[in-house]
Amino acid sequence: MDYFNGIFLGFSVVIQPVNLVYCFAGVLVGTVIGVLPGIGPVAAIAILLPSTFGIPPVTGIIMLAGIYYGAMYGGSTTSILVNIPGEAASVVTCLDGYQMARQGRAGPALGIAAFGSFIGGTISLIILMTLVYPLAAMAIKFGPPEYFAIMVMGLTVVTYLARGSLPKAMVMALVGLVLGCIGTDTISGKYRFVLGIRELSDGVPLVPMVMGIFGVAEVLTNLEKLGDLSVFETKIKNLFPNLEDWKKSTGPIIRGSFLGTALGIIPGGGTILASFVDYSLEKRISKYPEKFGTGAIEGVAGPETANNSAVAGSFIPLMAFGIPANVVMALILGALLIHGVAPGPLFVEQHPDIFWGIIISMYVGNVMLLVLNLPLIPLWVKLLKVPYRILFPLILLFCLIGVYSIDNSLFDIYIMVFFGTVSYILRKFEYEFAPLILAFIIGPMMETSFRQSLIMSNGSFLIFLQRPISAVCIIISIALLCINGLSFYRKKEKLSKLE
Amino acid sequence: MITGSFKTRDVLPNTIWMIMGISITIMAYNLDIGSFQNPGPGMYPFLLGILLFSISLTVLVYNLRNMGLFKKKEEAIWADVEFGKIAGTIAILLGYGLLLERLGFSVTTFFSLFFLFKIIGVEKLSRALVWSILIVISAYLLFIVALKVYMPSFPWEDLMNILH
Repeated sequence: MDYFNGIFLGFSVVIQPVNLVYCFAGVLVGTVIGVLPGIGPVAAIAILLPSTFGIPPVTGIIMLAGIYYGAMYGGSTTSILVNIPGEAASVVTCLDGYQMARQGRAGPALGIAAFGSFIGGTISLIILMTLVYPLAAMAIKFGPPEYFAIMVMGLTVVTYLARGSLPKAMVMALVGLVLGCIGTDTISGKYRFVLGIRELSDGVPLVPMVMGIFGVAEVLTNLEKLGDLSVFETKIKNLFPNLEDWKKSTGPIIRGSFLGTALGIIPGGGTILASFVDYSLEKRISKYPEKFGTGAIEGVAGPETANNSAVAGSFIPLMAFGIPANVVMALILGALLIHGVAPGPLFVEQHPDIFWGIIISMYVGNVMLLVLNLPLIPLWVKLLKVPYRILFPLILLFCLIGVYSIDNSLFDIYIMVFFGTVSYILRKFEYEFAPLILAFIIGPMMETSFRQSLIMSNGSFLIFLQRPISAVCIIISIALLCINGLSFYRKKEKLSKLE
Repeated sequence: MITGSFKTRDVLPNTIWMIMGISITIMAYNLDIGSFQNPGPGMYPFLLGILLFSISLTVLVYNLRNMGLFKKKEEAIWADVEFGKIAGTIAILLGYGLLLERLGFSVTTFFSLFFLFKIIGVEKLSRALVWSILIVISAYLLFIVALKVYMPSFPWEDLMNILH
């Protein structure tokens, strides 16, 4: 199918009233989630995942994708007005966005964040459309060793980029892989690690686990400091940036679009990485780096563009290879599998309506967000003033209803509470859960590829180094671990000398 | 990226991971690991268990040997935590699971919300009551009526039988 036919097919799918409604619902919920600190797109997608079971897969994914990039738009509002990021990818927007608000320029900050996100989202969609076909064609030639090696590299990158310590991230990834082994072995049919619990014979249920880790644990963490946010009281005017603002922002927006897309593609990358790297880049190449942190509009335009571009970028490995690049994509993969749709090299050929429907919906969703965000900013400001002590019971209620509605099983509620409690405790010990979730979802695929590779090679592990793509991925993984180990050793030596 | 911290509080989690690694290795071995030419269901978790044990042992040994390297006082992670609120919230969630199919959605949700608002959120009694009732009604209309999500209802028939 050529691109023009695909685009027309996509529009024909998206303009169906039900898909438009769900797209709007997704971007609206996503914006609200992004505005409200304390709950991020991962938790929101996990909570709303069960609501997609009764609707066609393309409609469900359109809504879930809308939540993801909607949250990127919404997160900038809180960062600029309250100096608290609505979600993690908007952390750097606080640095200059809030300063602009204090200088009476909240309007242009919010405006450039919205326009930059729109432009970045559009450019990254064009890149997505362009790259998926050739990458899918390449992926058809992949065998089990290549798939195994790519997944190992993805996990390694996620652990390398974890904000905490590398060993802790590696432990979380390994625990995630082990959790993925619980249940029935698909090849031999034997039960593994079910510990006599009948409900575990199908494995640990994904949605309750994710809701526990990102929903319940987040609420428990926020309960430690129940307080109201103080919104910066300023008249928000002149939402449209002036010519000078556009002149300063054009370069960062274009760079952010390409950088964000590229970082979204890398397994383990994503919106958070994209925004941080873009901010560092803009500061480094700016003629006036000292202005960053004091209200430089480039510090808002670039990262906000990059984080929205990374959303479309992260769809590329999912659609071309069937491998999720980050936790959100892992959930969307889970949603597709639940609907009986397997993304991968044949996805575009076998499900062109879903593929093109998702892509065009993202464009339509970006238009909706641009229209939504700017006029509704006063509403988002009011929303920010809702005390968390009123919000948290609602969040917990949505989690409970969402979890129970999957299988009408009380066991799912207990799983959610168990993982919520354990992850709350482990967060105190500075463990991160993104590696665990990604490992849990791709673990079974990794195991299948691993076992098939060994059968192919008659038991030789060298097969992973004998095939070029697999070898490159393994070498990159080893290199990342060595780089980290080396810097760790140097830091320890430095500290020993200081002693 | 490494933040390079050796903290005494990491000793306990690392010990737990070590025990977990050993347990997984043993259970996986008993599952039938097969051979490298024909891996059995236990091969993959067996290797994972060894990796988990090795990494946590390495970190534990480093932690114990280099404890004195950081003179900076470790922040007390549990210092400002209101255990009552945390434990109370977990208890309410577990209670929801225990009572949902006995008392039905409306009753269980009302009481859970009421306790969350009143005890955890420390709202006034009247406000907690009003919020709880409003949210139960809204949730009922949204999820059960509009979205047709199945949730258990209060066993009115059993109550009628008891009353009669």
